[in-house]
Amino acid sequence: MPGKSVLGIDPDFELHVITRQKDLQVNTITVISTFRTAAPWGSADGIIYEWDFEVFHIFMKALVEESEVVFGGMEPHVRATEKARLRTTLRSGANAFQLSRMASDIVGRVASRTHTVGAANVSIVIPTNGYVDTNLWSSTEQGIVAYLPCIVWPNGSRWGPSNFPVDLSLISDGHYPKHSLFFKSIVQKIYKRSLRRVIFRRRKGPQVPGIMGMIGLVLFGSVKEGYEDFGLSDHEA
Amino acid sequence: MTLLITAVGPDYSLAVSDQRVTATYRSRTRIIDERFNKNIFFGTDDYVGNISYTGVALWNLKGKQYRLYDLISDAIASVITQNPSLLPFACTSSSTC
Repeated sequence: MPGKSVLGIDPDFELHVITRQKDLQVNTITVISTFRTAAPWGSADGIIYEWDFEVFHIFMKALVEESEVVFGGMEPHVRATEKARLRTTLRSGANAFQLSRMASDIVGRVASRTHTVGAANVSIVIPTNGYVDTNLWSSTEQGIVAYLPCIVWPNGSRWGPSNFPVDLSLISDGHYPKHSLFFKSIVQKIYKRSLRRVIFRRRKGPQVPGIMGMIGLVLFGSVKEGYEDFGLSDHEA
Repeated sequence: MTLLITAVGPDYSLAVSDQRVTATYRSRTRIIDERFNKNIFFGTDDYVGNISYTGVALWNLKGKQYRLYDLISDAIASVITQNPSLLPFACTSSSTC
């Protein structure tokens, strides 16, 4: 990356990398930062690694049963109480949808404090067992459109970003998953609270999460063996 | 600069980020995109993951435009094809890996 003399601003960046092992219950969270000098961890749990390459730092944590939440970029605008509440909520066993909503709420509040952060935000969920799930969608004149982030496959090929039209009636009729971040975010946005409770209470059909689950269902005609809904059906919104 | 919130627990990992992209020119900042996704999902035979980023998103150099999004996804593809394994991270300091 070119220096400040070329860009006109400091060439700073920060990456947050999360990985989940397929066969072992080991999850990692890695922060690569050109401007962060202190570790971002909220607790001392897990196995912690740190490397200093002068130009950038790498902070890494390997977790098994533990949990961790880190904030990056415009972190100085996040209040200590907001950080503590999110960490406590995760440790208390909140599901992915609940935590996503709470994090989205924090993004919205930070957006009101600084113009460099927008209120619109996206959540990506990687479950222990199942497909990647997102709340990436928008309502257009042609209907609901789902978006997939850029995906790098095991053979190194890149796919996307892509968008797909979504037939909402197929979702609400029960042919598609109801316990996904994707589905719940749509319901949350377009249905009133009383109706949301009814919809979320229904627990029929295969528990496939999100747009990736839909694509898998269309392509392969079956739900991945051993699939779990990673807690999204445990609680109402 | 983006706000990144990243959570990891036993049941799931979650990456949340705002979608605004701003451009700075002569100390003036303007919004150029409100719905930009700053996540790149990836997978290997051993693990799956996601990268979210904040900071300089794109720049021009000698008439060519560079995007951090592309550089990161190219780097991931390059690393993945080398088939690295995260197995050593499952080992404790007292065990042999």
